[in-house]
Amino acid sequence: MNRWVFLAIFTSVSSTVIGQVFFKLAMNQTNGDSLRMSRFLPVFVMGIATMALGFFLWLGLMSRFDLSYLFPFEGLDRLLLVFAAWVALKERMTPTLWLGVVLITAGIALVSVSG
Amino acid sequence: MPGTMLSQNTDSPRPNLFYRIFGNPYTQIFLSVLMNAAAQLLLKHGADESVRASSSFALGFSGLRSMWVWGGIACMIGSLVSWLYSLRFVQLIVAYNLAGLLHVIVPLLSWIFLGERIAGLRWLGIGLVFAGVLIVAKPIIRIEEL
Repeated sequence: MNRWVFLAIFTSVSSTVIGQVFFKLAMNQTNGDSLRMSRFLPVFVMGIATMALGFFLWLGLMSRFDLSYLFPFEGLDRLLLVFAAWVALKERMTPTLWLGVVLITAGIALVSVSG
Repeated sequence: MPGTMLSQNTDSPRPNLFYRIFGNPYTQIFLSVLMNAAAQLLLKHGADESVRASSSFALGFSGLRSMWVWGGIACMIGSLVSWLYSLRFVQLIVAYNLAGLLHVIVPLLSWIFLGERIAGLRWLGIGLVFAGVLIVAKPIIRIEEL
């Protein structure tokens, strides 16, 4: 596989994941007594921007490659998200959560290879 | 002190049924998934329709003429609002994996409404995803019942 294609896929999937982390960080700002707009808005806008980058990159990839070729990589998002939430949000994984993540990822992979 | 008891009761009344259901972040995750699934179906239907209607290929923007596509966009926005609300209260990893239910609901709705076929191995994959979501959801159901 062309390494630029792989880089584009990886960038697209990680942008979506980073966008989710930004959303979570932004919503954490709203949990206090008052909503601090100056703290919420920049993070939220970053979330929208990274999501948009991931979305349009994915759209571009879809116009060049078969969906069945690209779709298995979408299953990566869950594993990347676990890593990102652990590093950036200090969220803790439990054995139960791991089992759930593995089953869901395996299920999505199975659906995409059985096209 | 009965006085403070009384004032506490009037200050924070028992939340009504509507708030208990729709204020619950897990209800909102479920609604977010439902609206996202509805959006996928509406967009697919609208895209099929606009391909038939337009002779030229215009990068998907021709879809904006379809009311179905606008319905899909509205559902997407609703889905995002519910999702953001739930992120106020729920860990991202938990919320994201509960939203894996989308991979169960979209195939089922495509099967029912769009008449798409689901082959054997694909059913197995959908079943695995559903089992995974249930495993993530189980500890939450136990907490919510307390």
